Amino acid sequence: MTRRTLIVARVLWVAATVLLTVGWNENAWILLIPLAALGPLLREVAPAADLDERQRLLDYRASHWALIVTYLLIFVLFAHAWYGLRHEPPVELWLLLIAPLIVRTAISAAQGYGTRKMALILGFVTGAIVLAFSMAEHPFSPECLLGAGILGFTSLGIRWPRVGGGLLILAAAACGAFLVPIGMRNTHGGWMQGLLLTLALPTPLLLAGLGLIGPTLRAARVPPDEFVDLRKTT
Amino acid sequence: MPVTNRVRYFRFMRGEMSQAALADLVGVSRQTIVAVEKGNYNPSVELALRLARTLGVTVEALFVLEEETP
Repeated sequence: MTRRTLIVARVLWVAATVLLTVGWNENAWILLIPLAALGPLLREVAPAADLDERQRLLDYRASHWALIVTYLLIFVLFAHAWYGLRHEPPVELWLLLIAPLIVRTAISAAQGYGTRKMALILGFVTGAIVLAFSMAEHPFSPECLLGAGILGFTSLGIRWPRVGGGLLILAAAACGAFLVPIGMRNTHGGWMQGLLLTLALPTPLLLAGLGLIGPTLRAARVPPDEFVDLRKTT
Repeated sequence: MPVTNRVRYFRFMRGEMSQAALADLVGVSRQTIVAVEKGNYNPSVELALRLARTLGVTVEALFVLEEETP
């Protein structure tokens, strides 16, 4: 996808959000959440195909300005909720506030630690949290197996990243298939809260699995070292 | 320490190669060649090597690190 296509897509998305907010529902701005969360991620993971290294640097700097504008908009929405509508801001607005921060923190950490190490940290932390909550609620119950399983799959990922990553992705799919329908039936009207709660476990597992498998796929595409034989003989 | 470059000089030494032609050969945009020539952007090692190879010179001939005068 070229840079021009990406720019047009983003502008159309924002314009559609503004039009929907003005003409249909004042809460339609929540459509900005995926843009704010996925925009920086796509920029890092799959940069526009036609960008060279200088343009990527400029694009990265431009993303800081985009973040500043996003937060100015968020502050306006918070002020509107507090002082204009005289009620607490909805949970979606808090989500819009924290989503770019979480994504950017994760990207920075991944760049510092490396994708594989970051995936291992994510897997171990998620497994430890699930295990701790399970133990606190029902010590040594079958629920504890889930946390132990996540820790085990992540441990496998240290030595065999594809196996561990694949098992974590399967675990994410299983958790999603099991939790999402339950969560969606028990949201009491708050579909966004229900969706967030039910995705809270599968999402980190999926990211950890992809983080373990991704680097191995990239390494497989790197051409073989043409000088390796020379180095062996000298 | 500032880095000066002689991309423009060697480009003309190579039959007055245009910026667009050089950009196509090394796989970047023409604006990036303009930025490098003006000294507004220091290229990566990879791009510096590709520029040097395309212009038929060494990287050291193309990019010069100006030593700070005491």
